[in-house]
Amino acid sequence: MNGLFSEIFISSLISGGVIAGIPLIYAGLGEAISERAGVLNVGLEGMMIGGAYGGFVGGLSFNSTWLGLICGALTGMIISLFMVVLCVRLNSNQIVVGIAITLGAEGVTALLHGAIYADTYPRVPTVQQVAIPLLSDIPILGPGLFNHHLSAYLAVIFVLFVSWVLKSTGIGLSIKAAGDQPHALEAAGGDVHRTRTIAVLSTGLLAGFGGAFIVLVGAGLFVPFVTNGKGFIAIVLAMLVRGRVKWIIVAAVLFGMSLSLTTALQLAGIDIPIDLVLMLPFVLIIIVLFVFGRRSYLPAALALPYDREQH
Amino acid sequence: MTNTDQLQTAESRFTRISRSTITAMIPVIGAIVIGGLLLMTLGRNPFVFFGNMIDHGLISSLGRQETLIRMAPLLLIASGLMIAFPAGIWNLGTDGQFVMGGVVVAALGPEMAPHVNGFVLFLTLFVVGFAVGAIWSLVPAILKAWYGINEIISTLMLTFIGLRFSALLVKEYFFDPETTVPQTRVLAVADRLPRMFSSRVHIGLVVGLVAIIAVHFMMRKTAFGLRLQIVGMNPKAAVHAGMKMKPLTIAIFTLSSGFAGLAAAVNVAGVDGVVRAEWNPAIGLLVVPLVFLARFHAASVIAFIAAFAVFQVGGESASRKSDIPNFMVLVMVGLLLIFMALGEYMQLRSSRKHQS
Amino acid sequence: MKSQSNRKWIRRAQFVGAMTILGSLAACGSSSTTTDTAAAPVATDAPVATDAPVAVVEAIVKTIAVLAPEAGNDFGWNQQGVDSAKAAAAELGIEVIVADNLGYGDITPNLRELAEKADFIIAHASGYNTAAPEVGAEFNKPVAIVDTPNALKAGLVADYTASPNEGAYLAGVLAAKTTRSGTLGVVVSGEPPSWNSQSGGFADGAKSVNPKVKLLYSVIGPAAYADAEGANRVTKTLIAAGADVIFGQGDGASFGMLSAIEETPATDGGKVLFIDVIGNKTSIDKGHLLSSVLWDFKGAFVDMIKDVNAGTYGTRNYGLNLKNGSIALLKTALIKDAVWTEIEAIKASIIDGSLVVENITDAADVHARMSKVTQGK
Repeated sequence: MNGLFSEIFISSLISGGVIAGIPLIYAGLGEAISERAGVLNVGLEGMMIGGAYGGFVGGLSFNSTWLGLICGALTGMIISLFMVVLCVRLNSNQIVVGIAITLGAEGVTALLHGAIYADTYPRVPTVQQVAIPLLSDIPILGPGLFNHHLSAYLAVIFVLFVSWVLKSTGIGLSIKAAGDQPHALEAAGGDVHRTRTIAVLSTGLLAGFGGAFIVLVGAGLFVPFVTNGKGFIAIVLAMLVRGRVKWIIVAAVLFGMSLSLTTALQLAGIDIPIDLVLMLPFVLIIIVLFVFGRRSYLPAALALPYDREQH
Repeated sequence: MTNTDQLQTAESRFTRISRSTITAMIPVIGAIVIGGLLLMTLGRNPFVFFGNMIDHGLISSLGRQETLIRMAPLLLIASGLMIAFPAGIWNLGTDGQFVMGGVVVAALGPEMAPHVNGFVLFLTLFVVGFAVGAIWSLVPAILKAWYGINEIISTLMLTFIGLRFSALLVKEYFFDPETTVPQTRVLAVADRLPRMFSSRVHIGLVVGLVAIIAVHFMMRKTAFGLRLQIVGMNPKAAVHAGMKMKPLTIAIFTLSSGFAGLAAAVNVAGVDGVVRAEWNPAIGLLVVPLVFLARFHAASVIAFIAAFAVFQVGGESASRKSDIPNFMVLVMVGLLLIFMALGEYMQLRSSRKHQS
Repeated sequence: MKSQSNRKWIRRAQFVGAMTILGSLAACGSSSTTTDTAAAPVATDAPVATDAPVAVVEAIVKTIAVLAPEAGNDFGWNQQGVDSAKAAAAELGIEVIVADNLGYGDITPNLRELAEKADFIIAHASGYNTAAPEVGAEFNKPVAIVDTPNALKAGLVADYTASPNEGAYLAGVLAAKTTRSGTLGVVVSGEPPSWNSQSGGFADGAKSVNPKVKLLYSVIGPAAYADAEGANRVTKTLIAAGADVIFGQGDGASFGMLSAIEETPATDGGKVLFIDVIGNKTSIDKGHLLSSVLWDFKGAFVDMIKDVNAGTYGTRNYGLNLKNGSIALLKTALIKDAVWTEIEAIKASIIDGSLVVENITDAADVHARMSKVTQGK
């Protein structure tokens, strides 16, 4: 029938799934870097919401999606400073600080939005989509996968870049050592604190970018708690891929697609209770975990503060 | 070593108590100062805000009772975490376990209430709440015990699933046909947990306190508890020592999540009397850092939970009176946690200074 | 060791603090302000006499309180409730205390605090329908609740459930007359009874104009009242499926719907239009707001307060419907005059009873009225 289950409709489902997944790629990538270095960053949700708000303000002020995304990334990084100072440098409990950051950032952003924007609910500038030539002409899959804002494609590039850095550069190996055997790193002349600082700041940048994406590309505006738990999903996805960073792309996009699937199932008139449908993405993760995730890789020194003075 | 002993005896008891109290108060003061600055940038008077907060949370009789009522479920969840975390099990699924326990208890309560006396009713509801909470962590427990699968992921996922599943249960099976709102039948006020000393505080608070103290002693004084601590500190040593990891893991998970379910039972039977679909108070996340900061010690856990309950109850009221959104409470809680973490660092540093 | 001893003392200090708090529990008993049971209220219509108050409640309302789960500036449910309460208080010359953003959890602390200060409490969320009457009974103060018409209790409890199905019917008529593609989208953040009522009314209204109209219905997610991103995604999907008029129910999420509509042209290249519910987003509209099913609670609140003063509160419920004007369709410049005239005529026939709009509250009944993507209907 006209418009129903047409190509446009399916493309829209796929497109929506991709847009839902991209922030998870950025945030998940960031979390993977932190965890690799031995820092369990539970404050990811806080960095994302900070980035969402920063991106919102930036996008509005500069009337530019890109500048907004960059503002969001910087905001995320500023929030991650709390983690750097308290956990990496001062060895405070990572779980406590992470949760504190999350609650605090959620509260501050909601408060600021309420004070400044709640009477006008401004919307951000329209997103410029770029279609990749040739690829976007593939029937059905093309328009859904290959017609997005450039920052969506950038996610893939970032993942490949970070994957390369972690495997083949000095800083990458330092990060891995900081996570597995911090004493060995220090003994070899490295600096665990500096390495972890770089890791956590990168996480803040990436998570902030992802949060800004949610607002600037995904929702079109900021509302309090707009990240809706995506930070925690990103933590889970990062653990799921067990250090094999490239798989984050697959995991995130799959999760995003499962959200679109819930819409599709409803429209297809499949008569199962909505709550059952909405459980699906999470059940999917458990199944994936069971099939692929045995002995999920967690670095040996994860969440253990490294105290130079005691070693 | 002798130096420190000399220092120790040279200091009077009074000085030590004062210093400890002040050190304990520093995080609170820090959070209040920064929170006050934020209030000022929003154009509000911080003294009025914090005055109202302390007044309603602590001083006014009505507010104090509310604070105590709020503490009951937090204490029970903390009891469960005091079992899991020292044993190295990251039970982050307390929100899901809580909601599942609460939904079943809310459905069962009004059915049973007309037929049994109060004591039997409450005992049954508590046991059922505990059991449902315990069952809800079985999947993560089995995945961990048999396949070594990371429980952070599985417990978090079970929370999301639990929220959906409980909504489904209420909408499809447990609903009250008398109302169009999807919620369980109401447990009549007269049938709820009895109150104490002619105040509004129900006996759930006592249950919570007893639980915390009991868990504290179990973890530190019984063989079982010590076994759990060994598992947490050095799993390999535990295996070498012949401990049966699989049953132990299951036990840890189920005990820990059982308390979360019990917390919900206490809340439903004592305060709410009813559960709506999509109910999710999400208090588990707040308890996690408190338990860590308190280093799993009962007295500290109770004190921290009390402080946070004051912040929440008082903060909500103060926010309303100062005409700012109650997101301010979230900010204050976050600040308090950060300063407490800082405070711990300062304690560590000062104790190390005195050592060297 | 010094460090251990330090920590021990800190813990002891904290323990002392905790004991102080607990010790105050005993003190609570002596300074309790509760009256534990309310005398059974008498349901009479007798006018208030100063020496014989009816139903043990204070006869004169000087202060009212309104409790809302989310921010009172959401251009939706919460704002309408708060603004209506303020307007009602202004009209009657009394005070109003606003407590918004309370969330959906345990609000009994807030209820109790307000019950001490206010003479009449409006519990503006269906989730408050159990706690509010209980606290009201504790303090002998009358409360107003929603979505629970059976809870009527003389002197203490009355309900103000909206029948927005009638207004939504008109919106459905409007949408069916405005759509170019013959496909309408319905996006909701949740399925509470009053929203189901609207979805059902909308579907019936649309089909009364065009029995073959396609209705695409989607729930964004669980309690997704703030999920602007999900709303945006779902709305875009429905637009891609051909919808060019979207009927959206979403509180915070509705902004995501609006954003999607502003960004995405319809499949025929033209504008997609939005029909909102409850609130009035005209001030932030960028040219896509076709209409809104407005809910105005002021009339109901004023009636309630007058009835409390007259001692007759709790003998009837207070409805919001087309007839008393509390449900209305917003007229915008985007509605053609001819269409508006037709809608007014239909409205008149609903009001005089010649046209009856079914009021469905169950989600399953809503689903039955919607089209399926796989079946062309």
